[in-house]
Amino acid sequence: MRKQAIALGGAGLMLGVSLLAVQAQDLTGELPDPPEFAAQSEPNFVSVSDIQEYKALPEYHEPDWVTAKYVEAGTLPPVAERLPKEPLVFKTGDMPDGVGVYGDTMRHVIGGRPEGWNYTAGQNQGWGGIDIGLSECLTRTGPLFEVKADELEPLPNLAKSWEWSEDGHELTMHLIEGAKWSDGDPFDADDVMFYWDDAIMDSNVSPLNGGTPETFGVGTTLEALDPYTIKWTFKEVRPTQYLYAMAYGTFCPGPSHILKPQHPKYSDNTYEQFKNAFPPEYMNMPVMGAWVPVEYRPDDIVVMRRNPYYWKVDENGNQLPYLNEMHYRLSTWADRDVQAVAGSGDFSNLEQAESYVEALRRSAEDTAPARLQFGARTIGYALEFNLSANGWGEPDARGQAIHELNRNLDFRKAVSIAIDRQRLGDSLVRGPFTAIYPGGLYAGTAYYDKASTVYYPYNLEAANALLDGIGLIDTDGNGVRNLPDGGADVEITLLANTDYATDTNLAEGVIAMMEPLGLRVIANFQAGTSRDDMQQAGQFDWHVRRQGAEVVSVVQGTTFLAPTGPQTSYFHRAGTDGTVDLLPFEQELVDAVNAFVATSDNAEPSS
Amino acid sequence: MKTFQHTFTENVYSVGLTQYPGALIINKRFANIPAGAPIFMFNWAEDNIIRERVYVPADTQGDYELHPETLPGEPGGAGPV
Repeated sequence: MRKQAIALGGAGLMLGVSLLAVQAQDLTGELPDPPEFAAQSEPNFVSVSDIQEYKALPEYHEPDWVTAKYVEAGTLPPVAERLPKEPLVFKTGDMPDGVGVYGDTMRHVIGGRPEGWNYTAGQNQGWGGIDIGLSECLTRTGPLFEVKADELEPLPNLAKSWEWSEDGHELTMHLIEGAKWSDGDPFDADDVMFYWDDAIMDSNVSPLNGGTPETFGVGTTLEALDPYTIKWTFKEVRPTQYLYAMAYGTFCPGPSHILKPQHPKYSDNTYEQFKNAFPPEYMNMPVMGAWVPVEYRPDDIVVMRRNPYYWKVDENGNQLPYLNEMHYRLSTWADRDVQAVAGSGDFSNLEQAESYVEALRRSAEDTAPARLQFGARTIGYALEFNLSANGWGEPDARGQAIHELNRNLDFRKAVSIAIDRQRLGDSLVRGPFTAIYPGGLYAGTAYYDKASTVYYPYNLEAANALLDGIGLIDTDGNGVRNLPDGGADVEITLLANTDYATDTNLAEGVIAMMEPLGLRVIANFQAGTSRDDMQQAGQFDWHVRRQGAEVVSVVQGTTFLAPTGPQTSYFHRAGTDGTVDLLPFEQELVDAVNAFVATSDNAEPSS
Repeated sequence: MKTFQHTFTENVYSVGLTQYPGALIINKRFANIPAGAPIFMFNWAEDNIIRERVYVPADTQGDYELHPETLPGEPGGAGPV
């Protein structure tokens, strides 16, 4: 770098020629397709109607011991009376191994700890799917990975059907009739309206997973027409994306018969007392999910037993779930992988690429207790630039200068083409796992279109020339470029999350690759919650971040794809004057996102 | 979304680094695990695999239940009954 700077500094004519050459040069290149990967399994794509339906069956069944010990003893009504008029029926044709049998346990291991059972008031239950097992929501999105793209729409769940008004502003939903909470109390529109009126619309309450009025559109209203019918009224026309917001985790109502008496509007409680009214020690919290918490031992385990009022069945009329018990061992996230591979745990989401080869090797052995099933490439990382130049994050003079550089396209291009993505991916794990990711939507997902993707391949020489061209020259010969007009060294802070090794490994790779570009990048590695605070406060220059659902499904979290509001973007929020100083192309992105939200056509998802 | 993707990538809105698949690790005794279930797409794998219809064939069931043949008790009560 020093030699180059001297050479360029000593030959103004050469600099001019070099710059012109880069400007004229097309920096784009052919984007390689992701490598083929034999261990990846593909979904069998089906219609929603192939997965489930709602209908009454001629007879219903339950585990024999439930009949013998509870029903015949008179402590529990017969199964047919506990089920709704028309239960949700899972179709045998979509069950990979068909109708099942009762018994056994799924042993989960999680790194979180339950704060309490009041999901509605914002308490988490320790994550790792524990709340997913307890909660049921108006709609359901998890199984959509196997739904045909041209039929993509959330599955009915507590809302068993819905229809739009002629003008598209009203959505009428029909709730499942006769379903009951796990303590036998009826589920109906009272539960839905308590969640809407006293959690979503009450600004003192922040439900887990962040549901707010804006989640369902500014100005949206909800009313109950009768115990099993609710009506949404939207300002927009046919905003089908809100059907996704009605799934986990932003519209999963809690038991109003238990929660309402503790809510400050209906009691003398403070909001804090309401939130903490159902601590982890409170057992048998009523749920609509398949399992109910029955035992909690701090730093040890949460045990859940089958919900005798669960409202889903198989086609033979067997009340679900098949599994009698769920365990959540309270350990660490890393231990989850270890125990699942070893067979002392049953389930893990393996997502840190560094351990793939060892996990695959172990699972290939005949005696391996667990199998690994790879899905689509839906884990991805990007380097994000803080694009605010009007005060978000309250930067000092150095930070302000970097934020302004971040807004320069040649600067961003130089950074991008100085990164050897193949080498970066290989540094995590060798083999066909990682793919070159040019940014934006992920290859292999429904809305991705390769022809619309501009790729600037690795080209360190051109990257250096681009930075020369914008006046970033190493004027003091210390190997680091200086800001224009004799400014200080270009020093950039890079934020990353230490909770996951992949985040910091990638960030260290970026730091190393910026060195030959003459940029000094300084690690600012923080534990998850501190990282979140700094990101939300705008206190970063660059941020290596694992991307969210919006670049996978597009239909979920759509508004996060661009700065559609003052606080929506991960890396460009409102400055001190309350405005977002959008670059012209950012306005185009906002317009594209808003246009997408306004259309309900998913016949051509990549259009 | 084509316009979005083109504008995003042409302007290097952020620098994509790498993308890769996650893997679901699941004990071999479980049945009804759907093919291609991603660890995260529209939701996490715990929802994607539809746990309520997952089962263990009778001949491979483990002896793991801590409270066999019990059901949840009264809300706020001591535990299963």
